[in-house]
Amino acid sequence: MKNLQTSILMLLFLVGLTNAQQKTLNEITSFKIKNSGSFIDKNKDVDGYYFYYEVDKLKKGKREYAIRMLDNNLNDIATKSYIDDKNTILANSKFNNQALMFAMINPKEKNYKLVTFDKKGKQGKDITIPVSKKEMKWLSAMIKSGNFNMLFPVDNKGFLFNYVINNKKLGYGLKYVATDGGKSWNYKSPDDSKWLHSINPIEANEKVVVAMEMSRKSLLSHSMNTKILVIDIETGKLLFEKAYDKEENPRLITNAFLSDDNELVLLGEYFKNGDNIVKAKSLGLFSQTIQLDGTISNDNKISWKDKIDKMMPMGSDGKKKKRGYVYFHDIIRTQNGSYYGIGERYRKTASAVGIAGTMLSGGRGVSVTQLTITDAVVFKFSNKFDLENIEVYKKGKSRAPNLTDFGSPQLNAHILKAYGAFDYEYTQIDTDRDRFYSMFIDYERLKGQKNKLAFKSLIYSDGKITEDKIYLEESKRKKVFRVLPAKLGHVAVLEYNKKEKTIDMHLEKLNIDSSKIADRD
Amino acid sequence: MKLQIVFFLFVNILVSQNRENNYLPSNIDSLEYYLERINNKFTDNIEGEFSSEIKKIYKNQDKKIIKSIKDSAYFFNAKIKKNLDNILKTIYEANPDIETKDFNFFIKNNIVPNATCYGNGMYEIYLGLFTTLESDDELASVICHELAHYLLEHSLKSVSKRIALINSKETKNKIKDLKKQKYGQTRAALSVIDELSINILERSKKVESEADSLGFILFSKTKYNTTHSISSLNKLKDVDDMIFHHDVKLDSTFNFKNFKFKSYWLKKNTSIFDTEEEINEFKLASDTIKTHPEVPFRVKKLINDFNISEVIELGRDDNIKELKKLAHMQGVNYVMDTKQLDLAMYQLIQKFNKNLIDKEFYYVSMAKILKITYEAKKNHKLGLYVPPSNNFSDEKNLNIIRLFLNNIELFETKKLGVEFCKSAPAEIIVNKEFNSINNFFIKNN
Repeated sequence: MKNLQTSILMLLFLVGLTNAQQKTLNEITSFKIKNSGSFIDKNKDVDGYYFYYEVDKLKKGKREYAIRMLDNNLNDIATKSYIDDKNTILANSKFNNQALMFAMINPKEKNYKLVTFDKKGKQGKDITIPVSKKEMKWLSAMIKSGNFNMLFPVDNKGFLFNYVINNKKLGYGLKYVATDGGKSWNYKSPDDSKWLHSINPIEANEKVVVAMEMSRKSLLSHSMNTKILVIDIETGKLLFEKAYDKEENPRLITNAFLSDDNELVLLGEYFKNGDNIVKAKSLGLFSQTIQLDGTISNDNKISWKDKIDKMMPMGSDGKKKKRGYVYFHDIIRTQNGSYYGIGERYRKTASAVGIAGTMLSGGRGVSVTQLTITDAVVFKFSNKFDLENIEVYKKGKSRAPNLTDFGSPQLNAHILKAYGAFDYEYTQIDTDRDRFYSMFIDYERLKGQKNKLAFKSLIYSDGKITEDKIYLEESKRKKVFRVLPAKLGHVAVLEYNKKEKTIDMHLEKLNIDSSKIADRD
Repeated sequence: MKLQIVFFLFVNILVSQNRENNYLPSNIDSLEYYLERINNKFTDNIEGEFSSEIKKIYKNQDKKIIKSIKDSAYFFNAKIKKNLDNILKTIYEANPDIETKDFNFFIKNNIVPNATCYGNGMYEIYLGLFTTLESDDELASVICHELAHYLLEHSLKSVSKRIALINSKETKNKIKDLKKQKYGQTRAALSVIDELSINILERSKKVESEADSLGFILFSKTKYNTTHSISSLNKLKDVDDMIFHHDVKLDSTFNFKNFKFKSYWLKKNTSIFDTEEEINEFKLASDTIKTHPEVPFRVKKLINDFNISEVIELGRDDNIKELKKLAHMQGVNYVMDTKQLDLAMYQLIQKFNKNLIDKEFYYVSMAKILKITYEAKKNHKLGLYVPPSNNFSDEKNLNIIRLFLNNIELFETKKLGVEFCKSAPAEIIVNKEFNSINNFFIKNN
């Protein structure tokens, strides 16, 4: 168990002394924490944790900082000294099995700085990218919106840094920094485009980078075109792109991965031509396989109407065998080739609070509808993407006020997803053991007991899905817990003891129900 | 030995043992009152510069001791007391000039071989000292070393010097200067801390050698064999190397016909850095200084100063035998009671392999550890009791156990419990406690 302090104290070796001198020394030598985070990869596996402290004031507006790093077992592995400008913010960090990269932002000096440490902990040459105030503001907005990979590690190769460029309209830059001695490059959106472009790297291997480009006409436009870009990782040249435009082939891509045979597999929802993917109800789910020369080798579609609705089981309340809406958070491919779609059911309902509020405010500014989020659903598909089964996992209802009463439930769901309104947290994929862990927060309504918040996991192992649960409060709420991502198959439990005012963190393994698991040697 | 400070006067009645609970003296309230009264009596006699600060330190230490007693840090056992008293009596009778009326020895539930003198008559002997030393003579030699600390007033002198050092004009000026410093204040303060710590640690090494010499003089007056002052020191050499160096061979301990040991139970994580030790660019020089001088230096000095034979002669084992037996079991029981499951499992395997504990104790205790592990995993609490493995740890074998306990799945723990219980010899299965754990695992499997 690790005791967490908000500052590092370099305590003097003097038993029990608390006189003025020691107090002064201890006060001076306490490092003030600026922020903290984890090194998390695309499979949501946590490689370690970092804490960023300010240590000392130096001449010419400089500061000495300390970057303290813990491994994924919460053991201290390094505390490095780092000197930079007083306005430097540590924005993000990733590990690619070869090096560690920190993305620093300096709003005053107007630059991004990429700082690397090799496997021996030696700091490499910094890379500085100048930036305008507007670009920085937009980058910050993109980060806040969630689902934005500012730093993307490419295992044993390098890192991708995703940033905003202010051309005539807002565009993007995708900077690749090689850590294997290869060539570094910079891929940018067209300078003269009349559209707004943003990019998100979603997959990479030793050959290519797969990124999703989103384009829209204006900031207020809800209509969006999606393109998949496949870029040569060695040269930074575009190999091919696939457009999923509103007019021709609108698709919402939830996931992408590169197979061992270097095929690109895209997963998500498909729509009617002319439909806006953000607002409209999809026609169904798809899986598309693309060769690295751009040829589509497979395009499987499963329609809601013809297939899914017929297989949709009853909700956990035993009512209506009806689809409602399903928000897909992730679609995972297991090592045996099957696919699993992880989602939550939701529907648009009237909000009692909203209606009362509207009456009181004379109809101004309060939404009378809400999204009611219910059970978790897991769709199982064969390796040919045929729907085989749908399972419903009971979860308490959560409600989130719609941001607009006039938009579609889908539009509201997309917006509310960015605000964290859904109960889904993340899915962790263990390719070695062919497992995945989908995490949810649930507010359990228990008969004869006080309702409790619980952290629930749906665990796929040996072809079966089992459930595990950690309650997030104990002893009449004297202790509260937060559960954070940790190494594969684990969670980091942060315990706050209200009475003793202590915070402790310990790692816990998620438990698989033995009755569904076969013995392995 | 480690030097600490606390005030305590001995009264025989204070630590009478409770048969039911070896972790608490039966009369804790009167012990607390007595310690407080004696502490006040002691601090009343402290005079001179910084006396109020020194008194404050002793008062705080007293509170900490009381808290430790209440937190079950000590072992109150009549058999241990009796055997230890026999050795103490021999030392006291050979050294009648020492005023021993207020002396009391507490047994600390700690497997490290160590002893402590608090400077006022209170001493601690760690369970690990009993399990490490081999003769009454060796134990008597260590006790004489602690008595020397007392006679040389090392604790009071040490505290007084520390306070004088931090209140010195030189230190105050340094702190005043660094407070004025606009830049690099933290680094400068760290240097001051480092200097002060080095000064204190160096003194600590000096007093150990002084205690060795006087301790030997006291020891040489007893009937015990003087060569054991050398063998005891040699046994305490490289304490770190002594513990956790037994090859636990988990793959044979937990390999059963119907449930084979799984290699992934010992799978390590990939680390961010490929370094042999933790990187710390804020590490102080004083962090690497040991509080005790190297044992070879101390041995050589003793041999030269007192012309001690280097050939170790036969010693007595009248009392140590019983002390060792009890300490081996209590060492396991304590860590099991405090749910330090990694330490408990390590000790059990090590002691069983070396025939230091009997079969029944081993099987019952291991079954208990597996049950506690299962329950802790089920409730997502194992991380509270078993630290994760650490690539930088010198405790390699303990680390292996940590890996194992953390990696094994809940359902595998259950199966392991069943198979382990099945593997026990027939005479163990009739043990009531063992049988109940066996049924627990069968029921849950």
